[in-house]
Amino acid sequence: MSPLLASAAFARARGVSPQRVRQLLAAGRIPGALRVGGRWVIPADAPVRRTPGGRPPRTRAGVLRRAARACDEALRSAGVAARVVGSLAYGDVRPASDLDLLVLAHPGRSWAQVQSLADDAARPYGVPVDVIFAETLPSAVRRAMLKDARHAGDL
Amino acid sequence: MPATFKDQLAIVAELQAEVRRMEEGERRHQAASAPDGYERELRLAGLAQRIAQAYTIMEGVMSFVARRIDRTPVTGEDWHRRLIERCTQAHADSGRPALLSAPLARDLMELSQFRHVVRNIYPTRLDEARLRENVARLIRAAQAFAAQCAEFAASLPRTPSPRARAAGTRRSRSWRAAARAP
Repeated sequence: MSPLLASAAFARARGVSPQRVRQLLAAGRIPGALRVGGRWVIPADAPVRRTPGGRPPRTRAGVLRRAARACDEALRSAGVAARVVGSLAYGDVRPASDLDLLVLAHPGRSWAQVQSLADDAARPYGVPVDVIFAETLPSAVRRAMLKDARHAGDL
Repeated sequence: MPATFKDQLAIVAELQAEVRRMEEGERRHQAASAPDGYERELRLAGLAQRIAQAYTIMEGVMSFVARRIDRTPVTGEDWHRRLIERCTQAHADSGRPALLSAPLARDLMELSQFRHVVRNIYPTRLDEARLRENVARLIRAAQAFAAQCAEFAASLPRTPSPRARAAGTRRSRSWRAAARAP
């Protein structure tokens, strides 16, 4: 077991300021740190978690991007291929913008199931999601949408 | 490559073909003996849905102009009506010309109201006279809409050359950059 350090010693060991260590502790980003009375004790080899979700996004576009990635992950694990379309894809996000997903393949999944997966994934972000099945669109509309469509990971 | 107004023209062309099919279907239907009872109700409900869908496609093109060319989407409760009004006027900020003429805008307003009716009443309660009136209106509006979109597209500047693009002009608020016309 690695030795336990006070926050000031931990700061010195990591070459950061004590204030920064206090911020990280307050944000719960140093796993293994313990509060003992009024002081912190931190394992000397404790990692600093860079992203417990990361810094919260400050813009609507940032929130939508996070939600898009979460939806993409959830849908991919269910075998559903989707792309982001709408204002997030073409770069004109407004405060009321929602997340539009164009579903290209949905083996064995109904629209309601896919919509429900996307809703669940986007719920923590408070973002409404519109799921559109590509094959239900008129072909010219589909072509235009596909031109705008982007992978959630590329946003 | 992002969608351009040229893609919207393709959408309008597809719509026009669909409306022509509808027109021919109506002509055939009038020549044949009219169904009655449940079959008649089904037919009218289907026709009403077709009109509503066709209007939605035209509304999509108008939304494209507001969002991607004007870069100021129309919002608020009565955005359907205000979107049509916006498209009847040249846009001062973007400098684009008007998309719609006043008579076409009136037809589109009527079609928008009819779509609202279709979406909000039981399909068995459709008024046939009003439905027929809107079929005729859609046929007239789709033709005018296609012609006015083509005119609008012709007034857009041509796609910037690769050299101009390489010069690094970032997306501006100007309709010239946003439109990337055919």
